[in-house]
Amino acid sequence: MRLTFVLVGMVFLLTSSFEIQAESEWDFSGFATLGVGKTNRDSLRYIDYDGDWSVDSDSVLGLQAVFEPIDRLSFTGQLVARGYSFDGDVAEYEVDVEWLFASFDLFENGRLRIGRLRTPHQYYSSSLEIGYSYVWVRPPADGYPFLFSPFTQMDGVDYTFNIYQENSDLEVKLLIGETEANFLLNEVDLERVWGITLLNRWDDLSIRYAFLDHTLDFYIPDYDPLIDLLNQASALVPGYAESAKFFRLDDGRMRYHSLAMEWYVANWHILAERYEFEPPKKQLNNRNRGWYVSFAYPFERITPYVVFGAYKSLMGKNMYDQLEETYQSAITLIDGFRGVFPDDILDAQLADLNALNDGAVFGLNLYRVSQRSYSIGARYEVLANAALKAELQYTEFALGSTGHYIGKTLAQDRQTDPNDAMSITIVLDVVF
Amino acid sequence: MQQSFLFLRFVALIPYLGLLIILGIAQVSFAEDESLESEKIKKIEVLVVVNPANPVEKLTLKQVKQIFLGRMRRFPGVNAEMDVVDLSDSSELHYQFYQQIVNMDPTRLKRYRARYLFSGQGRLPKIVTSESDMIFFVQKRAAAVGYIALKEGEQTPEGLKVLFRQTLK
Repeated sequence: MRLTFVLVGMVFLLTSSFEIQAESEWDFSGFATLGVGKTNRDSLRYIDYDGDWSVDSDSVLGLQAVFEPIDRLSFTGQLVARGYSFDGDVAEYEVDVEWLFASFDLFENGRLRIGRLRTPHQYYSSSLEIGYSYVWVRPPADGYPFLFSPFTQMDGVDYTFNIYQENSDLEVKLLIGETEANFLLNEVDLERVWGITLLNRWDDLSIRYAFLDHTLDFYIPDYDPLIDLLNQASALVPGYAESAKFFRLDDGRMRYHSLAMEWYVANWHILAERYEFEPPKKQLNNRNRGWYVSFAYPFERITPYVVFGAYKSLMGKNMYDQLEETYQSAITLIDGFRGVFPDDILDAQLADLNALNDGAVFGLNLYRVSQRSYSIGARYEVLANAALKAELQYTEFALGSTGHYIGKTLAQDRQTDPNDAMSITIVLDVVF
Repeated sequence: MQQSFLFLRFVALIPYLGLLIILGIAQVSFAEDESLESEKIKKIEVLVVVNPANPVEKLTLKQVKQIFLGRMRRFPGVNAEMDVVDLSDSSELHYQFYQQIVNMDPTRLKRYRARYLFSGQGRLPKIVTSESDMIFFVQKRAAAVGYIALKEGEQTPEGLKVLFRQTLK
């Protein structure tokens, strides 16, 4: 991360000492969103919304500067202060460097950028927090899950070039970088990400495919006691050493694929996206996928829209099977000592084993998440640079989870959690 | 007594009714002015212009779209610096240019440009407030590319090179 600042700084200083053209100049701009919302569930949080009205979850302020000292070379810096971050180490409205890069137009159709960049997972990844740039209150969580928040930016390089065809343009982006961040209780160290995105644009239709390969460490400190217990139990039954590995990811490779389509047809604006995160099978095997489809139709200054989507995160069946197999071996082992050791000692061992097994299954189930969501909303163009939006979202939960709504305590009893929830949000987006 | 009170309230409302009528008439006449303006626009030609020092001789419709949407950042074929200049979005010519030539309505264009600017793809076009400023800018800068409207029978202003032309519907 420091390397990024040093590199961009060095290039900036070097080029500043050149004889700068008279036309070189700075451009300053900014964006802001003021959001207010609530849910109908007090026991759950959606972003940072709960049963009471609050303003931080969607509120954001960003300032950007672009400096072009000479032809072909420019510097871009963007500072963002968010009302809420999924990274517990980031305070409310703490200023973060979102973009900081040097950009070189290498060829007629090619551009190289070096520095702090956005990781281009989804169609709107690069303008995720620029509410003015999309019709919704925020990008649909089914296609833009909060789990991705540690991966939204990287320190690295990307190269974008265009291939102009007769009826369309193909934009190809190649990238490589790294980052580290936290997501709620988890620590994520993205050691390396590389990938390619292909965006083909016709007049009214755009189709995009993205492939990204991540090598990362994923560590959940709250699982440490469980991992210790599993490792201790492996002295009795070696299979538990394997089970312990399921609760973290070391140098794990996760592959990401997504397909998006945006279509303007007969005044309709249709957008659909689907993604899949493919995990390694031998460690934390958490496969998640999501999709949404959105329809918007403008009437003068007002654009009503509807969005449908679904999201599913599953722990691999092999993890449950392995745990069950080890558990059964342990029971067989304990039963084998019946008659050799007193029953009360063996029963106590069995009780410990049951508690350990229940804890491990509970730990795995925390990552079993499924939901379907239905949103209806409208965007109103208040001014040339301001839009007011309101959205009502209904979410149905499945697999005993609470979808993207998070229990206020980890040990929340999932049996008593609601099966659905509703949220309402009103935002004002401004660009300046 | 009560009747005269109602009558007075009615009389008091007259100025407000008058104001509403005036506003209504103003709106209608404004709409008429707009339709007249549109009538004029229908008979004009849009020219995409550059500085005469620019070595490019011609642009296709597709290239014009790419340039004004920021998808083509250097002049095609010659790999030369490009400085796009645009009219402000309150201008009728801006509206017609993007609607008919670039094929993007104003609301969609604003969203597109917000995404373009804040996703680090590049700078937005320089904005000028009138066609005369546009002409002046292109005449002064070798890298500039802009657009102007020409009514039937009018000549292209001196110091400009036309790379693309299309009659507005």
